[in-house]
Amino acid sequence: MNDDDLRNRLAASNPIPPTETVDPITSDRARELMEDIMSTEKTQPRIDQRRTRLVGAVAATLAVVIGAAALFGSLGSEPAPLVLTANGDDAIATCLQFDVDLLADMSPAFAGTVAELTDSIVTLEVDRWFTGGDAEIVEIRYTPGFEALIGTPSFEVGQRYLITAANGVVNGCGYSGPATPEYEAAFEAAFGA
Amino acid sequence: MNAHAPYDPTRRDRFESLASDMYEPIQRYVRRRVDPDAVDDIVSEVMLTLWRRLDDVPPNARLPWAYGVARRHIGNHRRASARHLRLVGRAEAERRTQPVFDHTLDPELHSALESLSVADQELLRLWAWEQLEPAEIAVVLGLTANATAIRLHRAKKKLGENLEVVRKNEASSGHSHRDKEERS
Repeated sequence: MNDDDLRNRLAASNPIPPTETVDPITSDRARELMEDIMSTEKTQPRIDQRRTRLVGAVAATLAVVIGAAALFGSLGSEPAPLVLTANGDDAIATCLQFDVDLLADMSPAFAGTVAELTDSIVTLEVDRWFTGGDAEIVEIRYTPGFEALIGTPSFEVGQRYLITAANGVVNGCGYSGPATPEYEAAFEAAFGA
Repeated sequence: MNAHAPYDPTRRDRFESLASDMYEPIQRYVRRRVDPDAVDDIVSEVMLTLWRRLDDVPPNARLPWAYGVARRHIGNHRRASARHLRLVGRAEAERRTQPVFDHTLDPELHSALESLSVADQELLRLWAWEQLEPAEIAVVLGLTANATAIRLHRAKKKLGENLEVVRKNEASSGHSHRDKEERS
């Protein structure tokens, strides 16, 4: 079977072919949706600026290992694990003023809840990916003091965090931290999701 | 990013033009992949993202880029649904978070496709269902065009091999079935 045959055979199994009628952009429903969307203002979310003063540098010794382990009975249909490692490269050499535009450059970015915790590894169950991955589970291998970098006295099981990393290193300095509605709004503004 | 973009009087016009091109294909893309109950919410979220990130939309790859946005929203929806649906059982959760596929259309193909990794299945769907070329699939998946072309080539090869295996298995079980009938 050549490529064209294979493509045609797959296309024939398309449950919603390109000719399938869907709601047209001219429908009342679509017009209402678009008007609602266009009335949405893009505003700069208010960020707790204390977060940006917490620390002087980004932890350089963190390793982020992202994997879709079946640890929590995740579905077998989830994509293969994305694994990131870090060897001490700085994501941001010094603490910069929090800026949504800078946040938008970070990858991966996700929200997750602490499921397991040891002195050196915090395991988060991801409930929302903003960019850069689709794993169910993220492991952050950390050294003491990392908690302060992301503005929390200590990790706690059940607590939800918003995390970004760059080059495999988790960002502190306001670019990762405990989840709040305002902070999550900043992530939404940054990543548009 | 356009978080701090100054007021742009053409923004509405630009979005309306984009929305008129994207709204229908995005609905089909989402309907192919999620439970019908979730389609409207996801499509609305995708359109909202397009509005928010209007300045980031690459002019020469608008649809693949929009598919990429939809893919992320679908991923988030699946993760949320999977957790919620654990309460009603894994089988039900899987059924409701798997891409829609009518098994009766081509059971042999379905069987061969299911043997591939989820990533390979999605590559092939984007190629055949959305009729995208490798460079466009790369935009959807956030990969390089080269890597996508190589992965797509391998996925096609594996699917072809799987189809051959399925065909042989079915031929063999057909023989056995006929043998049994003849003996009885």
